[in-house]
Amino acid sequence: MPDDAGVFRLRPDLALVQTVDFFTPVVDDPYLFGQVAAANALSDIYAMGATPLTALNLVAFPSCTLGAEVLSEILRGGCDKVAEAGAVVLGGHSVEDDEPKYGLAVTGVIHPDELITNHGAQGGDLLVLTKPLGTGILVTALKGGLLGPAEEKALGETMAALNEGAARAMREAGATACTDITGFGLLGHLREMAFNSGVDVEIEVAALPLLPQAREFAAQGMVPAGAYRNREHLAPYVEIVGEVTAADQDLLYDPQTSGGLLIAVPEERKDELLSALRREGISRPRVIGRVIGSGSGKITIRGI
Amino acid sequence: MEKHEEIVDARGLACPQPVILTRRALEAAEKGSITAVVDSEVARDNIVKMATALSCSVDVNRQGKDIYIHITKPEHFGTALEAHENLLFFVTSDTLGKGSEDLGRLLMKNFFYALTEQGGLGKVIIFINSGVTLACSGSPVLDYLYELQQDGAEILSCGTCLDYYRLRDRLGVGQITNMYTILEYLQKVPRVIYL
Repeated sequence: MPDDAGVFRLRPDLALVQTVDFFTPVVDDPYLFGQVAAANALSDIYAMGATPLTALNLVAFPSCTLGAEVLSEILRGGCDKVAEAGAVVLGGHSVEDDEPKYGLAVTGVIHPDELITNHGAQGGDLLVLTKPLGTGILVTALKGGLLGPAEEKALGETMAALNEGAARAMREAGATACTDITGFGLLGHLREMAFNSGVDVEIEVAALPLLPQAREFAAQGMVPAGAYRNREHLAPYVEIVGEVTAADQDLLYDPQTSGGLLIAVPEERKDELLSALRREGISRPRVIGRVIGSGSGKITIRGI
Repeated sequence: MEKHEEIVDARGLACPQPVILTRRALEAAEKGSITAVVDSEVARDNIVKMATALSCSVDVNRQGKDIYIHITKPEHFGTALEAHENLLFFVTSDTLGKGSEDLGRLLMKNFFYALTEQGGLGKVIIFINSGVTLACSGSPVLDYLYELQQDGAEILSCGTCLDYYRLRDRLGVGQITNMYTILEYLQKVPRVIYL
C-alpha cells in the first residue's frame, strides 16, 4: 500500500513530494468548498512532514448550468488556502462536466532524511489525532437539511483548516509515522499505517475527538455509503473489545474530508507533541490509542 | 375497508433522502406503523438505525431487488427511556457498605431480597465494576434479580466491566450496556440510589 504522496529524490539533500486530490462539492458555499478542497489536497504533503511549494488547479464544471461566478468563488477559495499555506497556484486545467469537481495537484519539498512516512510506527508509540471525526456523517446530515448552524460552522472550520501546524508540531516532537485521515476513515488509514509498519494497534472509543452532534446523527442513520464500504473492507482486521455502539463504529469508518493527521509518537515525547499541537492552535489533539507491538496490522477497538 | 398504512417509496433515491423521507413519514404518522421501500443496503441500514434510535420495532423483508422495511412506532415515540422508569439503583460493588466483605455480601443479598418484596415495576438496576458479578451465574442474588425483571424491572450491566472480569459469557440476567446509556439513565431517571 502506498504512502500519502509520491516522493522523488532530486539531490542528496532535497526530495520532491507530489500529490493530487479532487472531489465533488461537500458544502453549498463555493468559496468554502474551494478552501476545503485545497486544504484536503495540501494535507498529503503535510502528512509526510514536507513543505508545499506549488499547486495546479483541476476543475470539472458545468458552465452552462452554474454561473462563472460560482467557479471563480471556488478558485478564489482554493487560491486563498494555498496562499495561507505559503505556496502558489501556478495554473491549472478545466473540463466541462455535468457535476462540478475541484481539487489540486500539489508539489512540496523535504530533506530526504526528514521524511515522515506511514510505515515507521514502533511498539509502544502513542497515536495522536489532530482533528475531530465525523465530517462524512455531518455532510450527510447537511445534505439532508438537518444540520444546525453551529454544527455547520464547526464542520466548515475543521474541513478548511490546514494541517500545516500539526505537521510542524510533529516534526518538532520526533513523530515516527504519520498519515492523514481522508476517504478510508480513521480505521482505513490506521490499518495502512499499522500494516505498513508491521505492528498491531489499539484504539479507545473513550478518547475519540468528535464533531458536535456527529454521534447523534450517526445513530439517526446519517451514515454515508463510504462508511459501509470501509467497514466491509476493514472488518477482517478489526477486533472489538467491550461495548462499541453502532454509532461509534460508524464514526470509526466514516470517510473524512480534509481530516486530521494521525501521528505515531514515542510515549516519552507525547507531552511535547501535545503542547506543540496546542501552541499551533489545535484545540483538541487527542491520544486515541497506541501501538501494541510487532504484528500484521490488526486493530483492537476498546469500547465504552 | 381496511385502512392502508403509509408507504414511503424511496427506491432510486440517493443517501440521505431515503432516511429523511422515512423519518418525516414516521413523525407524521399519528400512531401505528409505516413501510419504507428501498433498493440499496445502505438506505436499509440507515433507516433501521434511525428507527431503532427512536425506539421503533423494525422488520425487514427482501422481495427481489426491493427491500421492505416495516416500522412500528412505540407508545412513547422519540424517547429512549420508558416513561414509567422513575427509580434507579446504581450498584457499584458486589458488597454493600464498607467494612467486612463477608458482611457486605450478606447485606447485598438482604437488600435485593427486600427489594423483591416491593416489586420491579418502574425500577432500573445498573451494575458497574464488581457490581456486575451480582448479575452473573453464581451470584447470591441472581434469583431475586430474575424475579425483579419478571416483575418489570430493567436490569443493565456494564459491558466494559463484564469484559474486565471476563464474565460476559456468564451474564445471567438483563442486558449489557455502555457508558452513554448509563449516563443517560443517571441524568433522566428522577431518583437515583447509589449502592
